[in-house]
Amino acid sequence: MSARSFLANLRRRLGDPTLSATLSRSLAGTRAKRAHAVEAIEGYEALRDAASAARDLPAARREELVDAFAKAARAGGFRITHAATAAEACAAVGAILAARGVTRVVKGKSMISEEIGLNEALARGGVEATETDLGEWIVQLRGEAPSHITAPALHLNRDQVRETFAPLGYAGTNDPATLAGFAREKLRAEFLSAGAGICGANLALADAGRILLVENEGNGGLVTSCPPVLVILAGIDRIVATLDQALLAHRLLTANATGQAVNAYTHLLSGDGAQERHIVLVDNGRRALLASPFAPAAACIRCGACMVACPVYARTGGHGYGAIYPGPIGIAIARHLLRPGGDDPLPYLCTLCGRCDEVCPVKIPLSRLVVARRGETGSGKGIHERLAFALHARLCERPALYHLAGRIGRALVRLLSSCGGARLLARLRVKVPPARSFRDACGDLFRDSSRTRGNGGGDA
Amino acid sequence: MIVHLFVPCLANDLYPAAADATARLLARAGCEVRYDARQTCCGQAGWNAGDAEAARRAARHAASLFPGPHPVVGPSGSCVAFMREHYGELAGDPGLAGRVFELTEFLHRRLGWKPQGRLPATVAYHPSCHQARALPDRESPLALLRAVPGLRVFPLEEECCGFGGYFFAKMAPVSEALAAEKLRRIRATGATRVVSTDSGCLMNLETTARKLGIPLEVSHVSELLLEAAEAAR
Repeated sequence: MSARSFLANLRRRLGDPTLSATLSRSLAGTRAKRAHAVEAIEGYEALRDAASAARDLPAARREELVDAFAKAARAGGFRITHAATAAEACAAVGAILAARGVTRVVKGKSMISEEIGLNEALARGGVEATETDLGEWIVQLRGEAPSHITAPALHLNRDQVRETFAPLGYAGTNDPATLAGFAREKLRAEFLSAGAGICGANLALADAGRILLVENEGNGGLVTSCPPVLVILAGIDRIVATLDQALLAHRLLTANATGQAVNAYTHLLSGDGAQERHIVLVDNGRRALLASPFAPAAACIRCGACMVACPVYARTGGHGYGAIYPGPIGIAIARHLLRPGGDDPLPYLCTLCGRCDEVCPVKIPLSRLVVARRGETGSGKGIHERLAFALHARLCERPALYHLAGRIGRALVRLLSSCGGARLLARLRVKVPPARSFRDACGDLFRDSSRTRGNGGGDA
Repeated sequence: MIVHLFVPCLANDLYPAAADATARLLARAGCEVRYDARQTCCGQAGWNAGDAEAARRAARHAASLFPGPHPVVGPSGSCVAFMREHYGELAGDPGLAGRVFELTEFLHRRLGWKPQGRLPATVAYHPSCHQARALPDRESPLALLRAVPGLRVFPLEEECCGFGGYFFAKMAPVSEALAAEKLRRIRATGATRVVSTDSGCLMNLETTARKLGIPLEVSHVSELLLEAAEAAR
């Protein structure tokens, strides 16, 4: 995305008072619940360290886990397909559905399906996909992308949900329970008529060959049991070595994502039973991510706490990022998983406040990774910006020139301010500097007192 | 005790009173203050914009001006945190991390200095992100402010003001939205003056208030402490 359209999108979000009010309210609630849930966990810091160590693995160890998982899952009855790219993953799902003549699918919440553009790919092949997670369904009806990875409709208030349901025949109030009841009614028919279910994987267990699926609405249980065919999409970064490691990550996930001590439904899926069960193991940039300096980001358990904590996200919402994975983690992984074209200003949508580093349950050094993204070529700095930073760096080593430039800059801004430019400067948020810098004004301070000025001013 | 005065670039050019107050407070606390006027920028500006080479150049230059073993003290939680974390690698000076201090941290924790004087005023205190989380020292600025007789202090919620270095210019509309929210919080305290330990935050809040036509006085914590001390005479 060009810097211009990126900023235009942001301005649109910032100028939406309904969005601002919704974000303030829901994020305040989620932040409080998360803080409460985390405080209630005994030895939380030690758990973070353990989970971080278990998740932050070298690339070679990850490959071993992928092989071990595929072998165990296959032994347990799953049919495994490896997909190197988004296109391959979509094609693999399409082929599974085509082989069974499936034209209607129900989906559980899956960020990886958003990442690879599965719904659009299926539609092109004549397959209609219905989201069944309430928030996902709402944004699907609106033709929007999710604005948060665990709370897809976080940017909407209940009136907007009511308006979204109205064309489907909803005539009730904006009461959340009534709205949810309507959705349940509508979606039940989909569960019963769908030819296949598609869902994601929170974690994949290499030892047991099983998939751990975490949800709160019961839709995940229906997606994974009602239709005769099930396709699970799992990024290779979802694989953990053991059930114990999965349960540890699960505990951190529920506390950090939704502020729950325990979530409503946790499924440990195996490949046996009446259903035909597939797993598509997706790379789509993950191996490259793991081999890069951004590998720590592959430890992410997709809780979304970094977004909830982020002051920028709190003002722009997830759609402000223009990327399926918003917030700090989104900035850290976008270039590998989403491969934005052209010059991408996304890495600059961060104040480096460090709040995300503080809350990340698996201790991903998010703000360090954001800074590293800014250092990559094609990361949204124009040639004039590169030149300005290069010039600044050289001036920094030459104090006389540096301070001469400062004097000239101060004089110019002050001149502009006194010659009718004050309003322009105010609009651009340029501070009118004092006439003299500390360096230029401090002579008296160090001469009059007994303090020394050191060897200062040597070359100035 | 000999102390190197570290003057952050924003303080030098935009808030010289903060640097001046820092020097005077250190002197009042009994330090022999040395200032090397060849200081420019600590390198954080380049670093945060993803230009590690620019940061390295600035950091090497800055580190060369602060010979050991004397402490280096400056009025910025952000720059000091940056120097602590990165100068070992960027400037090849791992020893500096252990002797560079933010002003209030140095006065409060190192020297056990107590504010002097009296200041009948009401201020909102904005804890800068890097003061609170990167340095980290949440305690010292508030401890000193609260020890000033007559001063009413309203600490603001620990939430970014929207400065963010290059973010301020590069993502200006977002920066402004964050600052506007912070200004609402400041107004809610009833204070018309806000203090902080970082010039970047002060500049962001001051310029945004000016743009939005909101009356606001911004001061560095050092200025306030000096004001109180000088009122004592």
